[in-house]
Amino acid sequence: MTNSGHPLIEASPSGAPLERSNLINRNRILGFWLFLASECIIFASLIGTYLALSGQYLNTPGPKEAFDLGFVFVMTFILLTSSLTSVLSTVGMQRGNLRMMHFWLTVTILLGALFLGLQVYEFIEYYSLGLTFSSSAFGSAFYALVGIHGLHVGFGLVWLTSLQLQALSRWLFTTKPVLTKHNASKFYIAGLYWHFIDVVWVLIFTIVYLMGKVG
Amino acid sequence: MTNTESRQEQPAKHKREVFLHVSSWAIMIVMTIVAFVAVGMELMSPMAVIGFIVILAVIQVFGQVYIFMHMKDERMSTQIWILYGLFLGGVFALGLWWMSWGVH
Repeated sequence: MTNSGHPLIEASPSGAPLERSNLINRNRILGFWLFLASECIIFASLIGTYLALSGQYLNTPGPKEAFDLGFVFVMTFILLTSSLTSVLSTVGMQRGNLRMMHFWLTVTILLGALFLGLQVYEFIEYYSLGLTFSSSAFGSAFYALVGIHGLHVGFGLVWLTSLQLQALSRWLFTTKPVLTKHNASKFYIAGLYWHFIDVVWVLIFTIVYLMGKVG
Repeated sequence: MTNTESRQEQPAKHKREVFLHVSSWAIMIVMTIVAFVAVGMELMSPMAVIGFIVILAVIQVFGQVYIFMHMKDERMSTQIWILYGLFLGGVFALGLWWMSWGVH
């Protein structure tokens, strides 16, 4: 590997990727997959609730009046692209290329922040139309599902930003090497979380926005 | 495999991997555009278009999980855990939805 010789990076002993170099790392990744399996059930419950209640809005704004497909497409494009930049950051980590890792991680954070900003704007727009959390059963289910996804994006942004700061500065949080065979899994796991957010958004834009427009 | 061999193989492997990621991103964007156009232009009957976009979404979800989340590199036992999570999720969503059928 080209890692050896870099002052901040320890080489992976075997041919395995850096984040799988020892048992602790592999167990962390397995544990995170179990967490994601339980997150699947949380989002499935919210999606099921939305599907059950999405037709109940009487004379308040429904999916057809409220949703703007062009706007949602822009949001989807931004989040899908942030998924690509996040995986490129993981590739940089696996190569031991810190510049590549930091660059793509920064792009991911910026795209995520843009997505969250657009979502806040979208919610303000719906409130002005009269679609609120308490306007109808549809409104409650919509804001619960899409809002909890937005909270996940917000939490992911805090997570990625603190990883970035921790890895950028050797003085701010730690004086230990930035990327070692012991801590490589934390970058990998944050990437897994970010992709999971994107997986959930794929389901949300299909089930909530597109199916809402079809009626 | 000797050290010199693995050193020569690394850059080619990395290039292939980045190509795989960028091309799957491009395919996902195209699938997203197709789904939005199918709904926006009302090309099909409502039931047909719903079936079509749900199939596109399922393909995208598996693409994300297997390629971007590197599940292709995981052990079979780990793959079974996450597939079980997706399966349970499907049961929860359909079960909750089912309760409302015929209500309105």
